[in-house]
Amino acid sequence: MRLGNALLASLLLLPAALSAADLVVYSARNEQLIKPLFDRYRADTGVEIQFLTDKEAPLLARLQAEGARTPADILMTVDAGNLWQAAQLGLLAKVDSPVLSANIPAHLRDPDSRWFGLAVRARTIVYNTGSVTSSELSTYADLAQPQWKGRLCLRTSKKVYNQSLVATMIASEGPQATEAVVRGWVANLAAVPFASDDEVILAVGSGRCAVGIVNTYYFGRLKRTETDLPVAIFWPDQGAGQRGVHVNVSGAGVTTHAKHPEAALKFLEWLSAGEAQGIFAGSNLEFPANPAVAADPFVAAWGEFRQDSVNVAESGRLQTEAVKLMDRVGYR
Amino acid sequence: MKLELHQVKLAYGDRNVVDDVSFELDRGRIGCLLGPSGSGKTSLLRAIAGFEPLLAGSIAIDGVVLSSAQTWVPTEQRGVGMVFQDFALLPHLHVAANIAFGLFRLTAHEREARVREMLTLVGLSEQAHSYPHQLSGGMQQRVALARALAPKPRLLLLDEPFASLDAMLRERLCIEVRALLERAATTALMVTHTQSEAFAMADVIGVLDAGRLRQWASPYRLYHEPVDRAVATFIGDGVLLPGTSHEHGVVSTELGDVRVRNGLGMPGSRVDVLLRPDDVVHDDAASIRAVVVRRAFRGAEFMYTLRLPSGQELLSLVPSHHDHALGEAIGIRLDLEHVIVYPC
Amino acid sequence: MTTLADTPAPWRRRSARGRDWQLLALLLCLPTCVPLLAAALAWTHEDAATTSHLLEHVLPLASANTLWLVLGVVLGSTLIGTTLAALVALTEFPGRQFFSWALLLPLALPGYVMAVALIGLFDYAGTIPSMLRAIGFEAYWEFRSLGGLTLTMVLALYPYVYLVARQAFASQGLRAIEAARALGMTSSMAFFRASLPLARPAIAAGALLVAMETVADFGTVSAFNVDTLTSAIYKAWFSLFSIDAALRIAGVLLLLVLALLVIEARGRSQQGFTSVGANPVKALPLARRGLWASAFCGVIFAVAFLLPLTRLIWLAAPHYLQIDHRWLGFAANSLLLGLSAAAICVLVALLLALAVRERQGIATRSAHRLATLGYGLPGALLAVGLYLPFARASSWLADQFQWDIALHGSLGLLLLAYMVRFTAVAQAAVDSALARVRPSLVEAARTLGVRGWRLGARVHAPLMSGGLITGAVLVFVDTMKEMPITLMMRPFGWDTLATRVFELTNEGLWAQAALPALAIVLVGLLPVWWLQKRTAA
Repeated sequence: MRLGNALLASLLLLPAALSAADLVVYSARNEQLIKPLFDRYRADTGVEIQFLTDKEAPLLARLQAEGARTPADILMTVDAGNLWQAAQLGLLAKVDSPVLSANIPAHLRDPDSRWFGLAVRARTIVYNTGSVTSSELSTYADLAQPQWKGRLCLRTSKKVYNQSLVATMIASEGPQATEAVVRGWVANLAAVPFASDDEVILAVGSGRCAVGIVNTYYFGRLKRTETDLPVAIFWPDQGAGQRGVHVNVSGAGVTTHAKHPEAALKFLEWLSAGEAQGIFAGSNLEFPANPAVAADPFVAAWGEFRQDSVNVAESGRLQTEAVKLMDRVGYR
Repeated sequence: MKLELHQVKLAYGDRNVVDDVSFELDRGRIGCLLGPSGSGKTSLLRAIAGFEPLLAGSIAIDGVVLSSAQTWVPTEQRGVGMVFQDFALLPHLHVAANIAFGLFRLTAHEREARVREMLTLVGLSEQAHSYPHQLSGGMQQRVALARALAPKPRLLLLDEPFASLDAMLRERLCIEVRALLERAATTALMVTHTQSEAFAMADVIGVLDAGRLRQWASPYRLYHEPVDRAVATFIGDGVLLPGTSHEHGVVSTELGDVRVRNGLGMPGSRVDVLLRPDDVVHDDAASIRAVVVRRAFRGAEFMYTLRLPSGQELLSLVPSHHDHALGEAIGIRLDLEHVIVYPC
Repeated sequence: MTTLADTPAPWRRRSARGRDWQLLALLLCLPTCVPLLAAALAWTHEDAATTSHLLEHVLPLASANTLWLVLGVVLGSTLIGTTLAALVALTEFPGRQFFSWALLLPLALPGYVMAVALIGLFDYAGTIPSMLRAIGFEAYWEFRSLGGLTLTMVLALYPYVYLVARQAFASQGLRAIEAARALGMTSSMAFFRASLPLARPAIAAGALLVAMETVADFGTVSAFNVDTLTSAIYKAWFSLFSIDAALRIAGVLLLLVLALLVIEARGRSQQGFTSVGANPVKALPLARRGLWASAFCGVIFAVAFLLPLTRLIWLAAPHYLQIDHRWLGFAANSLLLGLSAAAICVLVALLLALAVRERQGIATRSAHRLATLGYGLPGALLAVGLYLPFARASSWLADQFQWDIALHGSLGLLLLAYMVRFTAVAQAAVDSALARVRPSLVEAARTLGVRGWRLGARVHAPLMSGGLITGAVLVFVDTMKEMPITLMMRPFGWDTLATRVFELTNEGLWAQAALPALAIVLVGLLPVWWLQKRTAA
């Protein structure tokens, strides 16, 4: 065991290696989506970035527990709800950045400037091109109508994307109306809710159901490999007075106890514009948050759409209510 | 070599298992602790081996205290060998390796010679490279014995060494092992609950009952002069015949008057006389008649259970040519060398 | 009389040694108590809104599902594991040699990977129903259901039972059966009346591991979207942001695990001594029925390993170019963590087993059982239950004494967490290994003057090596597959194959995740193969 002790002793000192980093990022966005950007940033500016990935909740717990001694300068997550929660817990610092305010539309960032959306993901309707024509589709709420009975496929309500979808629906249409819609969805389900968006798309493609609700980048990825999948995208709620396509953000904020707040802010500003914006969104087939930056051509080909303009922070504020609502109506 | 136990006391928690036990075992002698299960005999053996702590008293070899309430010499420094009830052979080692197990202080050459010597001693030279599970119970036992003897212990302890063997084997092995120990000139102390084993093996026997040593004596004296009723009934067959004591060492019984040497207390008090089966002799001329109620044929002899007119039963060992049927009344008389009586 | 050694108060010293063992045992189960205490403390925090919501809308179904799932998985894997073990250990049939080790291979497949692979094959849109529909066969059984989940977990977990039961049967040999047949029983009667009862403690220990793994599982369960108590814990924490509610449900879960422990302890109390070094095992020839045995083993092996593996390879093949120099590091890290965790868990299990032997009593026995509870807690919760106190402690140390040792985020804490989680996995194997070292063997050695390292090297090591290696391999394989603890506790830059799987599956990149998953399987196969070589001898 002497060797083991020596090993342990030397490894206990490992965190010291962090001091070499100029910037430390805790990220719930995956390594393969963020690392190219970090490498690019180092090439451009010489700033060395260390990062740690995990799911959102453990990351928040970790930040909270580390308190003032956290090494993290930036928290990056894939859902506004989690950013909102982090801000609620006092883990994110308010920053004053004209650059970010200019680059990121108001509804995609925290009203109190503690976090900023950097890439937009749209959650929309997909349909089987063999059994449905786009003229039959209109809104998310319409999928609760009886003509879709036994024809709808949904992902599990445990996924934050659906929680945000319902939360923003509560924000714009009120809890009663939303509950009625979700109840209708559950009544129309063709199969037990799926564990992933991929399965929903494949179920739609296989004819098990006619329509489903998924994030566009899953659709994009599947379409790239299975080009003959009979599934197409529909942008709902585009009519006058309708809310628009539900969007969420991948975003980031500077931590309250950041050791390098200026460097952190600089990095966020760099991410919010130009080529970095394009890479950040494009690498995952998402839409850039900065309207001045063009979307990846593959993504752009799905057509223009109007986003829901409700602030994405609402999906955090109303997330708990949304979860409880879905539990109540038996949406698993 | 002399093993001395002085007022040894052992306890598990608050329960005394051995109390006030003293005895001595001389060099080259084979001692035996005999007693029913739970009498504390194994605990005593384990205390001598150094596995159990002493609450009071002392255990010494050649005047050197090994265990007391203050002293404890670790087992491995005591120079005692032990044969366990389950033999405790190492299953992953063959016979020769098991025997060599305790010989790590010897050079390879010495070790080899010693193992060969032991294999010859126990007659297992052929099986040197067999594994324990390939051997019969008797062979395993001999390996265990050879292993314990190989380092030339000052004292060999045997914990119920025959308990896991069948009866036939047991008897033969008792004799074998005794001869083996004599050849090796080993001092040994064995624990058993079987009287025949003790008689076959031991020069001296200690009878343990409820944690106390009742008697420490030769088999002959134990049999013929048991110190109390407990020993008398535990050792050998026999009955206690009621009688009344009189002056000048005379006791009157249903079978007539007998003379005794030991004190009887007040004249007129009730006593019991110990009668062994060989004390009751069949004699057609005798005036006392008893009825045969049970008979057990033992080859050379019959063991008869007889009933006296009073209803008192006796045991009698009779040469087997005297073949009497159940219910038959036969003449008996007493043939007493030394009479043992116990006051009631 | 003179005294040879003037060692003062030796008996007090010996009982002090017993106390040392007791202290050590309590110390070793202390880390387990940290998250348990956190779960207990959560009951003092009132979160009425969340709790009442969960009670009304989530927990009824979750509890029922959990109970059915545990029941089904334990019964299924016990049945399959025991049957396979008996066939392989006691009978002779075509392919026995091969199946003997091949049936262990599903151990190397993480449950969540098997789940996704099987769903990809058997779900409506999956390969097999699609093919059937193409030839006009429309019937479909909903695979993503409690039944499908139970089946998948049985296939993933039966090796735990198989491994221990096979050892138990093999050490009995056919003697128990022969003895019973001598009493006039048929061979199958003899198996049920003689062999099976003898193997029962081992089977119960394996079944307990299966039960705890089932209770704590999140990955497999969420792939099937079945609500269980563990998924309710994640819902409370991840979706309702109430870590207290999560810990409260964990408290309920722990009660369930405790109940399982008690049930298993009752099964174990009748544990007899299995003979050591039984006769060289003779196998019962099955003659023509042997083909049925081959077919049964073959079907289990195909569904539990070949099919998922084939699908993994098929998914991973297009992405093989992603393998770059960093993968060497991932694999090395996985190996290092797996080996360290295996060594630590086996050592802890061994020390606990020795403590129980050296110092009998409620304290050591409780410590021995308590140390296994970590296996019944969902990984992420265990991670946070350990991480938070340690992070706070090291902040406090740094603030108070400027003693910045950064306990958290160090490999030390990660290994401690593995110890808490996986000691249970090593325990059954280590305990039965120690049982082979009967106390009389140790005493015999001591009367022969053998002690200290020589005693360990010549008595304990050769007798126990098989069991210790079995325990180590189980921990190693489990550590390789482990995700939530590794994610939360690993130091910066410390990526393993399992965290690679996470990175890719988190965004639904299942096809690409198949690559590191395949690597986990391959690295995990090595020790399983080695274990087989050791135990087959």
